[in-house]
Amino acid sequence: MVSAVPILEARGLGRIFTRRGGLFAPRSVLRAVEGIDLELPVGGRLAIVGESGCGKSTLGRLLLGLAAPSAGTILFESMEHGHRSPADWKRFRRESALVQQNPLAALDPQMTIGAQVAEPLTVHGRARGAAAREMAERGLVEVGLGPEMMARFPHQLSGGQRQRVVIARALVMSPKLVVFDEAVSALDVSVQAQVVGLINAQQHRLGLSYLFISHDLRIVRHVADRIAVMYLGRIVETGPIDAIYRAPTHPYTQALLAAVPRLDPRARRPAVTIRGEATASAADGPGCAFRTRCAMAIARCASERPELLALGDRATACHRAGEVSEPQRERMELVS
Amino acid sequence: MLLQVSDLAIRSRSGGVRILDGVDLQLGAGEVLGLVGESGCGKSMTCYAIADLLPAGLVRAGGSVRFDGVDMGSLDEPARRRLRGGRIAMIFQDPTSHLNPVHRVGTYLEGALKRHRGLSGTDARMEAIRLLERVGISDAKRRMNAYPHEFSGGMNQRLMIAHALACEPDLLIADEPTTALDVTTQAQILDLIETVRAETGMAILIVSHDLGVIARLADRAAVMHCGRIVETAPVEALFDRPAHPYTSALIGCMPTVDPDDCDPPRPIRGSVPSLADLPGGCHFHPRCDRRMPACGLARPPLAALADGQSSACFNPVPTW
Repeated sequence: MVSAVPILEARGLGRIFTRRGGLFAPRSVLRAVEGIDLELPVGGRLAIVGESGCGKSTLGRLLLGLAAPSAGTILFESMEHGHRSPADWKRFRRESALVQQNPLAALDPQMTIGAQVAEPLTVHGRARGAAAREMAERGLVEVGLGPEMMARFPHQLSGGQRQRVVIARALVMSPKLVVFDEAVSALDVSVQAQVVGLINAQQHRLGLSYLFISHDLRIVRHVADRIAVMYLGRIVETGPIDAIYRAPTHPYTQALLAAVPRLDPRARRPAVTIRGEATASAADGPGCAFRTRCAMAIARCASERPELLALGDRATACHRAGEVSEPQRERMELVS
Repeated sequence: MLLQVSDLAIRSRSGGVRILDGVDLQLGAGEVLGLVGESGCGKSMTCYAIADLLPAGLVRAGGSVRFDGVDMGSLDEPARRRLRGGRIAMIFQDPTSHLNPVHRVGTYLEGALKRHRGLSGTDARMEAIRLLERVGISDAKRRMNAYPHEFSGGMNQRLMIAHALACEPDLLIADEPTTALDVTTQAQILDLIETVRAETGMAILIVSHDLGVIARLADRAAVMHCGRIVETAPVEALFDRPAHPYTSALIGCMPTVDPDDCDPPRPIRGSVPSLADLPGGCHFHPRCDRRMPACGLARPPLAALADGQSSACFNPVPTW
């Protein structure tokens, strides 16, 4: 663990979306993110995983100040987002970057690749003209693209090349913090592996601190050291990836890992299959949001929300954390 | 053989682009064949060609599709329509966009039961409710009146499966049926497909870019690359000893959640070539570690190895 002050810190972070009531629909409240505490050390690589609608993208946007939280505080290099002056925000924008899933939507179809990679440099007054172009070209070479890309347009590139361009543009300002939001999800596996290698190389080169948001549990362990598993707006389990994959303690993490298809045709069907689907209404009320789908739920789970309790460098929000579920024990016996 | 695809070729109507190039596939009754490959390799188009649903702008440029011994090209349109949706059913990647948003769930299922099984009135309604229950939709009676937008993606895929089962098909074509779904929902849908297959004994052609899905469901698998089948094998053999370098590379770049498998995914150099600008000879040779001079000159034929495994490669990975 890095002992220094974390580069990014969130305390009690929450975001509520309210849907205005209509003639027939009542006003409704969606707790997209609630009660999130997290710390990202300098050079830290944190994966945020969860299924669609769990609030992981909203969390990324809150941390980058692209959406305003309804509750809680965010500190970047010990300065609170809420206390930033316009000049402070501008500095934060220089030092942070976002890489999203769909590179074609992130790129301007009418601008050359070179102009787009150079744009942050001129916007933030770091360089202009030939100097900016030269930095952009170097940035493209860093992500494995040749200088001939400078004059091309996004439609002339493959999906993998476009995602490299978006990464080059995010890194051209040498940011301290990057949020990758499903940055490799749309790519074919052969290209996904290339981009994963690229992210690792750049992290090493620049000492980046980043959050890697993804629904794909298979890929995150190759780009992150720690993981936070989200369910309906809350972190239910967090810790070092290897330890959690080896022995998940939250029933949701267990089910999520078990549901990932194995590359072994002889592997049995998943031992833990959870029923039903996540419904946002389950997050309302006093209990655990996962209890309606959980095979281990007890009466206490409906009346009292489990706190995220730390045990060593891991933490789990479950009243029955650490107890091994019946199907899992069966699987472990099968393995041994 | 229930389904025999021979030397199937598809090209764009406007000219040169070959989408499928000499595709051979066999599928026995009750068998599950997995078709795997990266985007644009032609796996979905193979499905569309078999189901006779080729999009406008694409034409058959050769080859044949025989279903239960009958050449589908020799059938007239009414006969083909009876087959399609009747003995051959299909489910898609994005169920919500394949469902008519103004039709209630019940109407949708009753329509299929009327068309293909001649059921109507109470009989059709009872059967539709039974189908919904069978695919794991709870409270089926009430859900008959729902619209697709009131269902989640997973429930809509269950509904598509119910619709496919309505016609008691001999062949289910499943084109990336779980790609748009969350991983826990995916596991549920794969379980469901496996269950209905065991109950009905229907054959399944399942298409996926995810080797894990293929490993989970298929008896046999075919690997596609740039419009061609490059390897076909029983699924255990495919994962144990892939013969084609592309298959081997594809397995190598799949990450896993196995805590003991710490190797980072090994990328394949370069990118998937564009169909409009394919390299000569074997389309994989510019990205291949095992290429030889001959690979750029001639197309390697799909040659039988042992135990039902075939590979289209001049220099296959040794499999002993």
